[in-house]
Amino acid sequence: MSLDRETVARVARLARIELSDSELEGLVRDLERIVAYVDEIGALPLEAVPPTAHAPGATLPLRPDAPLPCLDREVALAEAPRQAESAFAVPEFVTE
Amino acid sequence: MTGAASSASRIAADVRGGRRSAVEITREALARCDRHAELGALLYVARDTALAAASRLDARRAAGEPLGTLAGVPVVVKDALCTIDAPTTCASRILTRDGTPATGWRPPYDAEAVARLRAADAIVLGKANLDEFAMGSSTEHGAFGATHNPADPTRTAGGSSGGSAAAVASGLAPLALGSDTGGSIRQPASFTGVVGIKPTYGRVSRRGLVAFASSLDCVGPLAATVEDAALLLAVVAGHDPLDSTSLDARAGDYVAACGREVAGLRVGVPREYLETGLEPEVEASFREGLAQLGRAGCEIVDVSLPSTRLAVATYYVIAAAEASSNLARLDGVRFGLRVEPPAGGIAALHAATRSRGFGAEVKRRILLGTWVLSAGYYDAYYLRAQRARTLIREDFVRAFASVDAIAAPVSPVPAFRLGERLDDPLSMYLADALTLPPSLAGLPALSVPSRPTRPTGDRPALPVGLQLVAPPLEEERLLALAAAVERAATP
Repeated sequence: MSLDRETVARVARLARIELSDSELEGLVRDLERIVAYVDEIGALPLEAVPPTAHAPGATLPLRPDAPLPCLDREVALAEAPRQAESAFAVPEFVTE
Repeated sequence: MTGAASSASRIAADVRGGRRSAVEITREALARCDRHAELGALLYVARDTALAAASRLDARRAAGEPLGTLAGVPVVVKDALCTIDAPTTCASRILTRDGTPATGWRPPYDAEAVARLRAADAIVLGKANLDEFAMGSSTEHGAFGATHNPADPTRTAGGSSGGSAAAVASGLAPLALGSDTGGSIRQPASFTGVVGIKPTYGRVSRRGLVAFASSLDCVGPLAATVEDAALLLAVVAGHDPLDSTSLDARAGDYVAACGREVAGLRVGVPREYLETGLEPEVEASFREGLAQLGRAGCEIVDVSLPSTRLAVATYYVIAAAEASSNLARLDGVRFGLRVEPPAGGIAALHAATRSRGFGAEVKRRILLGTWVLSAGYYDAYYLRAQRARTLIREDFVRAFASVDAIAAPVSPVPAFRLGERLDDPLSMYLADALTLPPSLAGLPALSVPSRPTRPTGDRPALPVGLQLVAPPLEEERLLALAAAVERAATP
């Protein structure tokens, strides 16, 4: 699989990253080489091998299903670059 | 190094016994930070809060209160761990208001590992430099400059915990916390000549470690000696009910383990690791380390880990996928940088902020990760990488049926020059080939200094680490073996 310019630009849109033309060119070049390298696992017969999503270990205990205090509103908002009406401020994204 | 910190256990004993004050020790450590500022090991020196904490500690001692195991010991914390009283930037512009570390994000809580340090009465001296969001192997990929290797300032300190490693190697502090996702504690420890431990996945809480690749990230200690590393591991290890991947396993007696007998242990040497183009001086150092283990009574045997060659590809697919998901939270809304575009709504706000805020390597990995998770490629790359991860893990299970531990080099080369690999990301990734397999298998592993390279015309003697790997939760065995290597290497 090779990664062309159009694919990298589409993935960048999905990842919410804008790229200048020169950044895009550099990334196409780098990602082509990286993907050519990782393609070696694409060529192996692995269908019968179960996937590992997580390093296995002892079973992970669940904590009691009891409510715990969470951050106070002011604390949660303290580092927000913009806030309005005691909430995080974002541009309007729902219209009636 | 002259003027360097004494050992952590010595400092703590002196402070507890009233022979030295925590304020005096903190002042000396702060002076060393000023003197070695050109190394770029620290992004933030916590001058005021460190002195205030030291002063409170001295008052408690004067009042006759018992003090903790790290009483008055200065500790440097990798700047990917949250600190409530110091900015936390991950060496990224996106976690700052205006692109400087001083305007970095102020987390509302301490990382669990940091909270345990403070509970043991350690003094948090400052925040250590790293590759941006821990993505890199040279501590050159941060937004605030590179870390230089104390052994040769024209060379990298390794990465991504290069600031933590350089801080210990140059004696700023006897102890540091780092994080290791694919080698980020072990490789900088090897490059700078200190001890670095990646514990079993889940052994140390990840809560408050800014997530890079959640199925791989581990918090661990760096120190000048095996015993000091053990002391710090003992403080931070243990179950944390607020980290759902924290193992409910009792921490070991790590300091005592350093004196444990190793005679009779079987140590396997994976033949595939010796076929990766090791620099001859690195291989010679490794063979001497093996001989030292042999003289300590270990039986050195050949083992095979046939899926080793899959590790780099497997790791870079899985880590990039997890990173692209974890870093989605950095969007200009809740913390850090916000770049408001003139129009375009929330998607434009996200894109403008992320484009300005992330550096080149982070963008590269976010794009790779987004791509391998995108429709049509998930099965071909991400799911396949998870299957390959199973093969890598099963290699170790088979090997550990016949050996107690595995010994390997940490890196095929010693510290490389600053800038040498920046234009070639793939060569940077390939340099991690020997530390990635234990990470993918979730195993405990460490780097302990073995014989440095011999100086040549254009290169001074450079540190080389020996890597030891053990079955899950067997950190004590690792420490016993590392201490044996250390004893043999110390004249």
